[in-house]
Amino acid sequence: MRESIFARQKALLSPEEQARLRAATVFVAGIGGLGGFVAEGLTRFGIGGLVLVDPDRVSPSDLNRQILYTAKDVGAFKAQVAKERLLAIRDDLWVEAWVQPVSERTVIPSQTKVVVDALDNWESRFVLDELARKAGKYLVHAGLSGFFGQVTTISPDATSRLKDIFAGAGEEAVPSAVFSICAVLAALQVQEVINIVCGRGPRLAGRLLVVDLEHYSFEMVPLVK
Amino acid sequence: MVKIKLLGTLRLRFTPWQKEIPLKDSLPLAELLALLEKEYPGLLAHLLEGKELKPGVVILVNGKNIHHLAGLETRVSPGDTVVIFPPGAGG
Repeated sequence: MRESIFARQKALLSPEEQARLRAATVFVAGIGGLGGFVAEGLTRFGIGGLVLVDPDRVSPSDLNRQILYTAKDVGAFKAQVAKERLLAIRDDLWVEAWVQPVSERTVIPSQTKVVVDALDNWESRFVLDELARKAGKYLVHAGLSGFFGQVTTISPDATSRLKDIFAGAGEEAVPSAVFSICAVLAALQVQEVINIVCGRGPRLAGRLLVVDLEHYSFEMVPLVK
Repeated sequence: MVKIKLLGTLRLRFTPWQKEIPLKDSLPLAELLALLEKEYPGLLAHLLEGKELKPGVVILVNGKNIHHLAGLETRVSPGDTVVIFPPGAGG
């Protein structure tokens, strides 16, 4: 069963890399537009474990972009619905659903290999950044507004922290969000997690990739610590 | 020459999204932004509230956030790259 799922990626990932994925746990903070794609992508790639963290319930306005949910899930907790959906894709996945916000009291499990920032506000992101720093984990960030967004990786010791790079960033009341930008940014986050877990190294550490789907532009901005 | 890049939703309002501004000597970022206003009418209103940077605007000079340099007094020199954008908060 397991072999047949990954048959089409055998030429891309060595048996050792596929085994590394199976042995890895990823902490996904926010299971909305970005986090849903990330969790599903990592599941289909063959990740061993996921911790899904989100306090919210599914609402109708999520259904334009949040792929893990359908109309019948409205009102249910996202993390729990996501867990069921992911187990339906791969029943050998180890997955925990945490129905809670990210806060200073959140404990990132020690077996976590990478933390994914799929949150929807800077305040929580900076808290997550600090948790990842204390735990010594890579943090793969993405954020979006309309058809625009950005991705970067914070390494435990070699890059600036999120709060330094994005000092001055502000909240939007309700940022516009659509399927396409969520899919693109989350796919980049998945690829980055795969690179880190497989030992290929982060490709976006010290680099900020700014994505613009309005003009089909990907601009790589070098960052200095 | 200083390279200016306007990214994110700023690209919806201001074109071209990147430009090289001739510069012989270094100058404070605030003065560079005033020069940019001539190239991009209305840009200052997007970036500043009085003499302060608006919340939500991030400016990187050579890859470093100006909040960790000297803010709007950060010296910009020929050869530098200035990236201005409002990072996306949503997820």
